[in-house]
Amino acid sequence: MIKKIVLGLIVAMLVLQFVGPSRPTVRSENPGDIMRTTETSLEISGLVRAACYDCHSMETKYPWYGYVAPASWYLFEHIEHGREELNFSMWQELDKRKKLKALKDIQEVMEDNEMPLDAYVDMHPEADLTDDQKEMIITWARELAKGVLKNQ
Amino acid sequence: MKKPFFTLVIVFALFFSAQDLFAQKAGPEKTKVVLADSTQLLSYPMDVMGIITNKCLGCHSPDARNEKSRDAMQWIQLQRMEAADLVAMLDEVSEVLEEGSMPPEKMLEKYPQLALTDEEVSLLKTWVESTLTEVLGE
Repeated sequence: MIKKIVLGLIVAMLVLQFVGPSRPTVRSENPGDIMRTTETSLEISGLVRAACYDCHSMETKYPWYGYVAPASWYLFEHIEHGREELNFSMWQELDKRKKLKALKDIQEVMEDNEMPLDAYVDMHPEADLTDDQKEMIITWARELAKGVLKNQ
Repeated sequence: MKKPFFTLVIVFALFFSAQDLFAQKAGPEKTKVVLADSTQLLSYPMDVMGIITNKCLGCHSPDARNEKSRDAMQWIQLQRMEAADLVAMLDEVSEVLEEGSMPPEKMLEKYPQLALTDEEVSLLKTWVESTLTEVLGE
């Protein structure tokens, strides 16, 4: 009886791998990316990439559980939602006011410690930003907003 | 003896109400507020100010009881904001008006008179867009 249950579970797991939502696409070449179209230091670029890019860009690096359903489904949903909210790879496609809105949102989620999500930090220690690093990102976003306003 | 006094009061009352009437007909009056970091002006036409006062300030002012709405936005802060932040905030207002998500459903269940009419939404949208155009220098 237990054998049958285990076998059933294995079959179910195998079937799950072939159904469900499709994996959000990954693209390594993004000419309109914020880091390529703005003057951003390597330090900030590194911090933002480590803490934000898996969900907020086209350069997602999938962890091993991103290939195992149903955990991967949860991940896909997060990535789709994250890209909808803000996609750093599509920065150049945003108009001025949407850029300013995005930069303000970045400042707010850093100030309120809303991002990166705790669940993400648990699995990605490199995304665990210190208060100083968050402050650096806030300053960067604020200065960049001034530049965007002046059409730089 | 009392008659001339009452006549005077009535004449004064008529004079001031007529002035009000003319003022309304003369077109929207604007309150201009200088932005913190620029020479641009944030103007509130009287009709827009009226809508904000009657339908938004209850939750989006410093003395509002609801902490969440108070933290999310306070209209009074707009005039103190840097231009970049003002654009971000107005863009959010624009989204909210487009979605029709304010005032929230729960609030409207309790106070249906707070619902924005189509005309009010249109006035606010026009004001938001013209202010954004002005601030962005487009």
